[in-house]
Amino acid sequence: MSKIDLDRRRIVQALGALGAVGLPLSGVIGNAYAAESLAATTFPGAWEESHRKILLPAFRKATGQSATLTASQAVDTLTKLTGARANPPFDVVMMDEGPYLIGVSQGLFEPMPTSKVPNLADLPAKFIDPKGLGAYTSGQVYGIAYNTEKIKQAPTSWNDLLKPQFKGRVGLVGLDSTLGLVWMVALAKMLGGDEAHMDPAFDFIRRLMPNVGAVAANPGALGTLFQQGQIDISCHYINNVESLKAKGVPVALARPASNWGLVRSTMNIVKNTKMADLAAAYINTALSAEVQQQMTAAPYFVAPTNTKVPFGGALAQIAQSSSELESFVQVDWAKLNPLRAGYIDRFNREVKV
Amino acid sequence: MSSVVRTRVRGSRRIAGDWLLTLPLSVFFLAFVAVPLALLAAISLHNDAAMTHAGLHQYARFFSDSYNRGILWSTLGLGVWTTASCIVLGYPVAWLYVSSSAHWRRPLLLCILLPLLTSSVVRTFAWVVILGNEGLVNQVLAALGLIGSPVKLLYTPAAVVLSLAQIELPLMVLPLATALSAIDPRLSEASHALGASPWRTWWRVTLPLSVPGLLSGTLLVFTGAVSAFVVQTLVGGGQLMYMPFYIYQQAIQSQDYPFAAAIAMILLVSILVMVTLLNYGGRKTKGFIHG
Repeated sequence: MSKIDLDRRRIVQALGALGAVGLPLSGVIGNAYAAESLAATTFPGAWEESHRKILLPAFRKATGQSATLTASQAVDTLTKLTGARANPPFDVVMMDEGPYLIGVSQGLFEPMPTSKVPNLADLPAKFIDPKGLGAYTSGQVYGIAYNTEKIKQAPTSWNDLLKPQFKGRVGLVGLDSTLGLVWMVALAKMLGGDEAHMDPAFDFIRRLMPNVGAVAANPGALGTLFQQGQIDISCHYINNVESLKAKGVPVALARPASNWGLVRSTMNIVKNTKMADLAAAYINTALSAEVQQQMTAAPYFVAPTNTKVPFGGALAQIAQSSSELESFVQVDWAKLNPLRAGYIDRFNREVKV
Repeated sequence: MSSVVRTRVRGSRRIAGDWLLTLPLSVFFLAFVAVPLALLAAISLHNDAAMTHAGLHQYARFFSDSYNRGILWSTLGLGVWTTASCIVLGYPVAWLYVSSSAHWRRPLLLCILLPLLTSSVVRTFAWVVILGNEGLVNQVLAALGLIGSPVKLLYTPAAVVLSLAQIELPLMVLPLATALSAIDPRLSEASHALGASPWRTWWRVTLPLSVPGLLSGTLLVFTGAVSAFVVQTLVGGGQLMYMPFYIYQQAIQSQDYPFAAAIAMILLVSILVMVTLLNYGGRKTKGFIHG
């Protein structure tokens, strides 16, 4: 038998095998479309993990439908939405306050059908978009993170970062991240400025520079810096600090005299989605007391927005209720957003080596 | 059916058929490289972030500011330093590979390729761990009593060059080894026979003949180094700014697409200029070798 014939036979066999595999495969794909999986976004890291473990199973239980989760930073999500307005890649998105307001101003979101989101009733009015274009599903608290082995006396104010004993030990995070921006605003407010008057904050950074050991490109990198002993003190989120603690890193979070800071995140239904009702059900699940209760536990420590959820564990040392969260240092993103690019530019130049 | 195809291929249309084979790639290239590039250029020609007024403002804005020019220079400088390090480190390795027996070539090749076989994120994090304040280098130096407090290694331009050189090294060694093994060994034998010292032989015979490999290696390493977003960001930290991160920051964080597009175009043109100069240099050396 010639070699060519053998090859041909193999090819026929391979094609047959492909067909056999393909048949059930196409069935699966067809079914997946029939089931209409909801496309949702979350943030990378602990957020994705918690949403996969807690939110998705609860959503499946509540609706019998499944959701496909994509991890994407809020600003990246914003870019993806503006790039495909008519046929959006997601049905429901998770946003930080800043990008959420940009999305609202660009008309990217659809009003929530309130009848489909009954859990909105358990939210303080401040946690719901005035036009119903989304709701705050969670909050993250930030304070002064410090290495408990190297710093015996807990810091009590952001001004402590200026102490000469911390020379080369302070970590900064770039203004590209939400954390970097809100911290700068918190500094400005502590020193008599606000979102539109950031000179006091930039002046603080200038005085702080001799103490700065490293500037992290994002909050995740800040955790690595603590882990490696590159820095001993900086601003950071409670959930990152708690997860470092769980890994055995000697780090704790202290309350600044000017109060804890709060960063909230929203969920929004994307305009032109074909599954608005299902997206509403997804948000409703994220707002439910059961889901938010589980998210407050270790290792996530996400602050709830639902007033029915009691504050437990590490969160109990910080606040007792979601109304108490309201008193924490927050940012007027509507004021800050238009100025953001300018502040990023100024920060670039002033922290340059 | 198959006989028809065969006749066609054998016929005068063979050349046309060959061109036809490049059609899928050409269409792909046109749709996913040429058109987006044209769009990028078009976006960069707008004066405001909302893209309502056309003009050259973004380019003027970039070049009129010494901070921006500094970022361009340090990015190109990063490419030059990385390429130089790769040449210095890679030439002996390529030489060793070419002059070793077939038996040793296989394990050597594996060693050369090793950096390419791990993900660039993993390799980069390894450097972050090695160069940190409590990293391997500082601990060894401290244990030897050479330093009292940790030396700042991470988040310095030297650290970025070092880690890029390690990651890009195979791209320099492989073309160099190819060029070196293509050199007729009788040429250096002749040089020796005519009384030249080994160094003189290397300088006058081997080095000029290996220039083509050196040039293609330089091209690969330089373009790789100036656009290495992950390494530049993780090893360079938030205080060192290079063009790729600047593009990302202006587009995604500052939502200033025209400026980001202009930075991207400026980086692209700068790289093109370098590539053209290298090609020109390559042609010159060919003339030198044959002349």
